[in-house]
Amino acid sequence: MNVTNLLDFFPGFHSFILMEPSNAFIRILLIFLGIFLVYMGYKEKLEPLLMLPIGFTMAVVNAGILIMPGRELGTLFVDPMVSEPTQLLNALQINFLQPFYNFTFANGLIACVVFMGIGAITDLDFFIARPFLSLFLALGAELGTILTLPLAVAFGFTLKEAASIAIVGGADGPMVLFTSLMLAKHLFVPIAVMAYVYLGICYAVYPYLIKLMIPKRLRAIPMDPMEIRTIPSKEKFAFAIVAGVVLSLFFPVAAPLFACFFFGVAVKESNIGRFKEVLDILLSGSTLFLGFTLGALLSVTTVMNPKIFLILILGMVALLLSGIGGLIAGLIAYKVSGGKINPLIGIAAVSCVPTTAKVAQHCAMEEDETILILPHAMGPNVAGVITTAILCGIYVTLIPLF
Amino acid sequence: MNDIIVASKIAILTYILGLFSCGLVGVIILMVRKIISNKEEGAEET
Repeated sequence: MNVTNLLDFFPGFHSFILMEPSNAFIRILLIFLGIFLVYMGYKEKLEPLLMLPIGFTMAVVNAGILIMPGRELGTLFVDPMVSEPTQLLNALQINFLQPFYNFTFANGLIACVVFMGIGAITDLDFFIARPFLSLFLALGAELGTILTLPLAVAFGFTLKEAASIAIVGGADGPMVLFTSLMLAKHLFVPIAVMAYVYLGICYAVYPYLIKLMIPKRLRAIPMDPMEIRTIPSKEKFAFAIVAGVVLSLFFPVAAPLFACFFFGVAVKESNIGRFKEVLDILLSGSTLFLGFTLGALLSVTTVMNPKIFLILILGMVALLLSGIGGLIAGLIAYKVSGGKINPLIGIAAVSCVPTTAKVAQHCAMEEDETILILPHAMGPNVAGVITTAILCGIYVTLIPLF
Repeated sequence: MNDIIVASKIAILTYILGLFSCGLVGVIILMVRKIISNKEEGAEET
């Protein structure tokens, strides 16, 4: 028995030899990166809800590359590049995540279900109590979503591709999935994966941005949580119904997103216990499978897109610009209010619910342990979700017209 | 260069439409608040 035959017993190792050396190197890198993400999630340095499933599957899928019929390299997880009907039928029977990918990812269902679940856990009190302040901060925190569009075009992306990358600045996973599926399906995998990994990284990077932009004494400005009036349930319920209908009327292309989010809010406020339980399970289940499938998409055989390096840079730029925009809006609010508003709540307007609000609270507590700005930060946080959904709707409607 | 100018125009237009839509959301909140408080006042009077 020669060495080649012996390697046939271990296709995982054999596939390393059959690969280009640069791909083999990236494959090893991705395995270790996956393990690193799991570790960072476990230690809660990065968002564990995303990092654990993404990191684990990313490591496993790259370890489990094997030689497929026709001596091609592949995995038994999922092949997002399949489009031809016969190939798709085969893939659906062979790859265990293929049905999940085709029937929930490719049509945007998972994005909408996650968004419905987010609606069901979103507390609108803080947003409805101070809507214009919250929306002002949220519009500031869309700086990345706006500026990255021409920037990405300058780097050679088409308008549709550029809009799909720019929406990463909104820092809302379901919106990134939805926009890239509607405008640039061929870049869906790298954009979606990059967005979700970066959303986890927000947790670690934004505190440094805050320390760079906001002086220490401003970070310690107290805000009384009792200032926020209690909003009656029927007011929140009525708002959800009216806003869902009106926004769908203005942006029909993004109507599935508005429908799901505001329906989730309506369920929460209507106090129908059974519906709430269903949405809770749906959100947990869909987040878990979303992370699991995204990790599986990070196989070296699918991730090697020549544009990936640029997408990685532009995604990071979009998130950083949004963070900067949010903090600038926070500083303006501080000035206009005569020093009553802690500018840190500006970072919470980057709509990664509730991560960025927690980042604002954490940074404030570093200066003064007794300070509580989280309720005030939740207002712009929720406004950020609504603003990103609106901008997503505008991009999806507007871009195909040009 | 032309593409970048078009993209910049779209970005500005998107922001203006975003401002308008967010204003609309704010107005909806105020209207809902007004209607509900009027109804409650009416119920208290009766």
